[in-house]
Amino acid sequence: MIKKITNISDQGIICDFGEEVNKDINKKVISLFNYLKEKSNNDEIKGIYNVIPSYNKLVVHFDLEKNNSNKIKEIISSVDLKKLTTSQSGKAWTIPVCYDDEFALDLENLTKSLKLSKEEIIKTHLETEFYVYMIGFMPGHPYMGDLDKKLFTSRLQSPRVQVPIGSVAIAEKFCIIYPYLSPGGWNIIGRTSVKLFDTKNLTNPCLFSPGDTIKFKKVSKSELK
Amino acid sequence: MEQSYFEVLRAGINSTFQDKGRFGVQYMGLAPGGAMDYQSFLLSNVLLNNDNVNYYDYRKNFEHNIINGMPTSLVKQSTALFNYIFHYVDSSIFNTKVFVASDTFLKRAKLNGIIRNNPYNMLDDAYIYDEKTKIFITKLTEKLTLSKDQQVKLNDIFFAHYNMMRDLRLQFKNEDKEIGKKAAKEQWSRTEQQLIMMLNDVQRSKYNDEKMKMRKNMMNRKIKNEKGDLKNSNNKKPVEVDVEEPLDEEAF
Repeated sequence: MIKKITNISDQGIICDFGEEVNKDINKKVISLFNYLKEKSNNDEIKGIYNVIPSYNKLVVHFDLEKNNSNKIKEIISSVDLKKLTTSQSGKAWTIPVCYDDEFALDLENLTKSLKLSKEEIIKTHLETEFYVYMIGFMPGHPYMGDLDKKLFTSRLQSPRVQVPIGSVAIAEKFCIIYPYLSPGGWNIIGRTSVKLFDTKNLTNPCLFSPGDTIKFKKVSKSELK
Repeated sequence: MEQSYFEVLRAGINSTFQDKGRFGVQYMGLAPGGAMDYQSFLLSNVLLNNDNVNYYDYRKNFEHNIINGMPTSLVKQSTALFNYIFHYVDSSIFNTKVFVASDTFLKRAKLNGIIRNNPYNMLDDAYIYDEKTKIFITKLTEKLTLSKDQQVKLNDIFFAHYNMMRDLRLQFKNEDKEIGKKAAKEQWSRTEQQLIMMLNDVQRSKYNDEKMKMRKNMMNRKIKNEKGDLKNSNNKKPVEVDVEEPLDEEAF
């Protein structure tokens, strides 16, 4: 449930669902996100032009000429989160990943720090059903959880300047996929060829949505298109 | 590289190049960007005689536009002084309206310091008067062609008005808004008077120009007739032409 709603600027508020990161809380965030987006699109709530969900926070930006923070706060406070459904979410995806050494740049180091074999790390990763908490950092970049405790690890001490496109990486209890070439400090354990953000797809450029579930499927290098 | 792009040829201190941003798609990881200072963004568009941009509708419709394959990108050139070339290749993918300011406008804008803190949301009435001022100026510039001096004078009026309204908004942020509203109304009256005087000046100069033009034509005709008289010994008086008096401000 929402712990507090506070102003973050003259045109923005933040709904705080607490500090904990778990699926139940995140589902509430996504429910409220979908609700506000739908109401805004139908013009039932005027002035909202940006709604951004995260693990346990929801930011709402609005236009002061159309609405104000008090009204938005009232609307949000009056919403019964239990009755909301996480519509537009819940798609199940299977993503092919190649764990070859060529792509799994940090797998060798992880075997030492986690005291697990490569096979064990890969097996645990493949067995986990991931949940997309949010999209951020880059277009289409998913933050997925929750990793098995055996794979909990910290980020690299020195981030890489360039992480290859499609790199699958882990840190703490999360897993990510880099949709673009970018800097990054997560532990890379494989690579996928799936395009996460398609600029040519004008109807839905982002492959994943918060609330989706993802399973990884091991493929060979030749199968990785 | 994209097919359509801007190439900056000369940049300087405070050079910025801003578009209107991409709103409503941040949940996909797309940073919104956009104008750093919305108020000066609107102001510069008024200065440049561009359409009165409805920022909210743009933000609201952005997602709709990308879904329908019609990305709309309105570009603002800020108060910085720099030149650029716009390589416009494919209008279907880059439906861009480019706002280009003359050096005079940009210098004036910079001197008057339009880059200020965003005074948004402080005194609603002040915005109504801002809008009125913009509409007046837009209509004025649509109907009449202004000389450079007149443009500069018009800018001065607008800046003075804008600055006063900004101060009022800040002053009455937490105080009695009724007093603020009254002050805003008084300021608008002053601005309106100045604009009406300006309008009269413009019309008067236009009237004088036309009168001079008419006189010149009459003189030419007279000379022509006199030449004809010498040939034909035919005395014809030149036709008297009346020039209409300037319109009053109600025409606007």
